[in-house]
Amino acid sequence: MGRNRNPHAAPTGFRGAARSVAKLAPIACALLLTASVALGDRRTPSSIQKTVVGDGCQGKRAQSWAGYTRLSGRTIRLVWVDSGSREPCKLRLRRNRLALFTDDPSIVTGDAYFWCREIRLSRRVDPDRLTDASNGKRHRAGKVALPGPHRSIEATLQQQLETGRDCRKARRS
Amino acid sequence: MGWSPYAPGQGVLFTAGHCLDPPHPSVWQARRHPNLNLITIGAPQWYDFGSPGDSGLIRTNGQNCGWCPDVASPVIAAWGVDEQWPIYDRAYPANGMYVCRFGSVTQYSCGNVLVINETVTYDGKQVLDTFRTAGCLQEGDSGGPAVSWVYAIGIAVAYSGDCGAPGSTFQSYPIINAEGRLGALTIVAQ
Repeated sequence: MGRNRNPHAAPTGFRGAARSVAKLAPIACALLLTASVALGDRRTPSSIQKTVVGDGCQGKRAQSWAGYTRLSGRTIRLVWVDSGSREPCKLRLRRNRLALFTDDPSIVTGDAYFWCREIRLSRRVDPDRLTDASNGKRHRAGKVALPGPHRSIEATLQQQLETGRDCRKARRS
Repeated sequence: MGWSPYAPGQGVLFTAGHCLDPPHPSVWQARRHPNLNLITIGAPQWYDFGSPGDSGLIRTNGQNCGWCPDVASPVIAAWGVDEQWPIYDRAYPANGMYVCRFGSVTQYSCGNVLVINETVTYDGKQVLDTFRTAGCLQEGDSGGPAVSWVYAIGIAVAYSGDCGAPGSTFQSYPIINAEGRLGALTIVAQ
């Protein structure tokens, strides 16, 4: 049985009542992945099959990315999580520092999408030494690492990273 | 995320309306913990997103789900955490009210209500009567419950900026407004 965490100190008798329904759990709507989500998704980002060095994006908000994996040669798969109501992040890559930007700093929905892109790197970039420009952290290829509160969805992103399923599609989570 | 109102004879789930806005899933699944498998919980029944609100309803098939919301016993349990939060009734948000939120990403976040009856625009939709809280929310928290003591207050809907960042805002939609839109559903204790 769980413990009552309500800091407002609910009456003892009520706590007892709560224990009787301890099996309850919230529905993680955020975890509501679906089979139909990929159909006609207007938020689907396009795959980038070109070198992205210096694409000149002028985004206003840096966005952390979760991880990447090497596919073949100089092609990598990059994954990150962001609100579904935001346009797909833009990319900038300079000297192994990969930056994600969003142009829209305004209010967005609180849902989460798992984003994924396959990128072909230029020869000047070492695919094994990519650093997240938003926080300066170097990611280990094949392993996602999310900052702060997003750790709770690491497992799903790791799966996304490994399988590449619906890689070019946004997913409501 | 979502939470269950009391609806006699029905298994239902409140969530944010934008969670049900197309392209939305026809079958909804959930899991209790990131490492557990997804199970089907039900299908969308109704939603409202923009002009005026952001709320939706999923009809759940609780009989096939050992841990789906028990509509007869209002209680919130943090996702993936063995804790419960009892609910007796619902209330309108008020300025200064201390509100706690549960979310799949931010987990557990509390703070005062900063603004009520606020109209905000996101995803191209204008949503009326939201309230702003100091307790943060992020992507993945949508639909999650906001409570004050044993009162249901709202549904997490939108945000701007990261938790703790200057100027960030975190919006929820009043649960009583959602009840009014959805009709004849109330959150009550037994």
